[in-house]
Amino acid sequence: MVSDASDKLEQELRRGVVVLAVLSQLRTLRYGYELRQSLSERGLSIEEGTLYPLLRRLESQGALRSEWQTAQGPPRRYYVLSDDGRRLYDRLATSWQTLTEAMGQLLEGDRNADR
Amino acid sequence: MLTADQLIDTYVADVTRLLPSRQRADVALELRTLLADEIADRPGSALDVLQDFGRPDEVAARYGTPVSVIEPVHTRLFLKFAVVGSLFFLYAGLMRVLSGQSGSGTAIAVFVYLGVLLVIFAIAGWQRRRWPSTAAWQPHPRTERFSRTGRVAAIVAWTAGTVVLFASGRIFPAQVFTFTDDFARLRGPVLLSWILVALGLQVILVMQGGWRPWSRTAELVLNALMCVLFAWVVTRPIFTAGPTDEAMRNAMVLIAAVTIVSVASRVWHRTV
Repeated sequence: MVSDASDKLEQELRRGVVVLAVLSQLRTLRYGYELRQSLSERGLSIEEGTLYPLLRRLESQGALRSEWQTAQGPPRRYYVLSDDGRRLYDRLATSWQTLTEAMGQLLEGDRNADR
Repeated sequence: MLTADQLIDTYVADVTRLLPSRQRADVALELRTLLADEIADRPGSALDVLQDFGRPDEVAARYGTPVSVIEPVHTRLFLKFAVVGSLFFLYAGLMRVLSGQSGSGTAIAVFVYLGVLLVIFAIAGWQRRRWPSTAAWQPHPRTERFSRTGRVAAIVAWTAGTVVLFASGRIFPAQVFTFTDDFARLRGPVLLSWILVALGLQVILVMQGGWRPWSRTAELVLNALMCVLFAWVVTRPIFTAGPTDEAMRNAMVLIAAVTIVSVASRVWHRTV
């Protein structure tokens, strides 16, 4: 029961950073599978069933633009930040910095209280 | 045994048929390539990869913004209305059957009620999404939970009803208010006893000017008892005259059906 709850809480925590992580890797053109590999190599595994639909949603919201490329094998859809997406990324990155600083202080305070 | 390509085709078809038609071809082409890449890169069977990818309906839902027919914030209220309302119609149907009438329309009444309820909640959800400001909380005075005037009115109404039921034969000379012997022997006295106890409780409530924990429980028990009692009383004729008997038993069915809604609502509030 507690284990189920903690799994869900951890999922929610990770879900909050997925969009920012994806945007951070799309300053250059990438296709879905390549992006997932790139994120995984940097320690952030995102389920494929979550990532690929997310790319579509971000595109429909105007944060990404995409194009089909067929030069290297089968046709693949490549995504990159749009102008709006770049602004969104800057805003989210700033929020993330503020958040991590605040959380760092909170967690540090908690550790000091434990000593 | 399906090949990897056949599995991919089946899976992609299952996902894309749940998407808007304008999206299908594009998503199918992209998803097919992505799945082929995943399968080529991972050890294990293609089926494992596809099952890990997720159920097609869940994956399809992630491609868009799923719309709920009933908003999650309304679900509990919807269930409450659905259960209590269905109980009302089922109980009314049961009472009609017990009183010798046809209960064939009960199932239809329940389904029509649930259908109408669904439409009302769907409209409420749409309104909430379309104009979120209409759902903002507004300050309002707290409603009075106990009305002494209302209780006095209830005592008067129940006393008048009891007089009509038990003394009308003496008041009016006509035979239309004559009890059957069967009712007068057992069901009548039991019913009268219940009414007197219920009236006594109402008088105590008015004198105390409010609820106590014991009086809330007592009223709940008495109301539940009334539903059972009425269900028993209407099983056989009360008056010898047919039209009077039918009118009285129909009135008792209605009162009991309304009361069971009230009982169910209070039980729900106590347990949820």
